[in-house]
Amino acid sequence: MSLRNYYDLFVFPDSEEDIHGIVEYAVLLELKAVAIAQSFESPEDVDKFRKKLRKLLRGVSVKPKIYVAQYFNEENPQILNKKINRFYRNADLLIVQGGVLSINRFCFENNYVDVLLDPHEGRNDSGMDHVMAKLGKENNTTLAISFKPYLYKYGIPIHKITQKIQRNLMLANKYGLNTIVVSNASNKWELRAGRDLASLGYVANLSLERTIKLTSENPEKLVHLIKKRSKSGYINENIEIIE
Amino acid sequence: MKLNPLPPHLRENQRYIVFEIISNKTFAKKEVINEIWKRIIRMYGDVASSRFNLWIPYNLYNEEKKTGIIKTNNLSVEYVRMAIATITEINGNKVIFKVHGVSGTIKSAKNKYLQKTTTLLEYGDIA
Repeated sequence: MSLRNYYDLFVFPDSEEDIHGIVEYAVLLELKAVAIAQSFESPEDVDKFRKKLRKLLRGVSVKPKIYVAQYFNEENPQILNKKINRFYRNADLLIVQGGVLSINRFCFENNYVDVLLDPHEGRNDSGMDHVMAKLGKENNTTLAISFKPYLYKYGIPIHKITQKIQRNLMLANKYGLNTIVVSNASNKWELRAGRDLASLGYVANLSLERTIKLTSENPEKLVHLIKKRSKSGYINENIEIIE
Repeated sequence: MKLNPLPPHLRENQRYIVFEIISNKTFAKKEVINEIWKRIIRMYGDVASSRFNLWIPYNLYNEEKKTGIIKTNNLSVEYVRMAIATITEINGNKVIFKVHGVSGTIKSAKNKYLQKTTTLLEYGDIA
């Protein structure tokens, strides 16, 4: 048993039946916390989902810490902005699917977006440049890389994806952008142990030290932010009411 | 006539990766070992995977507990770890490969990690 804690901050179950299996396997794989993401229609659905989760997992005695994340998949930054303003007080994490260049840029410029997932998705280039990396560092946006393509693809697609990930990790490393690796699991069979997820960083040319941080210290920064936000006096990163 | 063993300063540093398979079914040793080889060669190619100095001891795979050991050199541990993490099924049955730890000798790998594996059967005991 390792002393480090490992996290998987993006799990996207297909249905509610998968959630129980995901929690069970997260314990087996020694994950400290898991963030379950859904595309909720309204902020009230987030609270209803939390109550459902509590009911579903009532009988489970050992489970990891579970966070609820709102997942956005938009092509228009203005529509995305409106949706973010509705959800940022309810969901623990706001995760945006990358791919469209304007969305990638918007996420790195915006304080409220917590995680940008796979900026290279569906693109011929890496989806990210040095300007965005700098902006992301200033606005505390985390770059997330999904492990899922490596489970089902091989050959040229994997070659191209790995090239783009290498480029993005190099930029993130240079400009100090927080980076994590996530499983993007839709059921329990796609989950992986934290240390195994992190090995993606080594294959993409990171040093061993930074590789290990991809699923341990880097996600922990997000977890600390979630805990801070859940306090009653918290308004934003720079303002907090202390009674 | 036998080859002389290499002197210590010319030998590669070995690492032993202890893994466990999480699944609903048990598998024969041959199936598991073939799947691991297939995946590593598919992922890294014939030439690159030859540099890993890979060996999967047949007698160290326990079919009941679904645990085994992979030998590699010290520079290739993360590559092998990544490759086995990408294995999703064996003979059509869903699996998850979990690496429990890495050690420098087989004896310490057995003592430290093989005795501490958890399986689906033991899940109820974790509480």
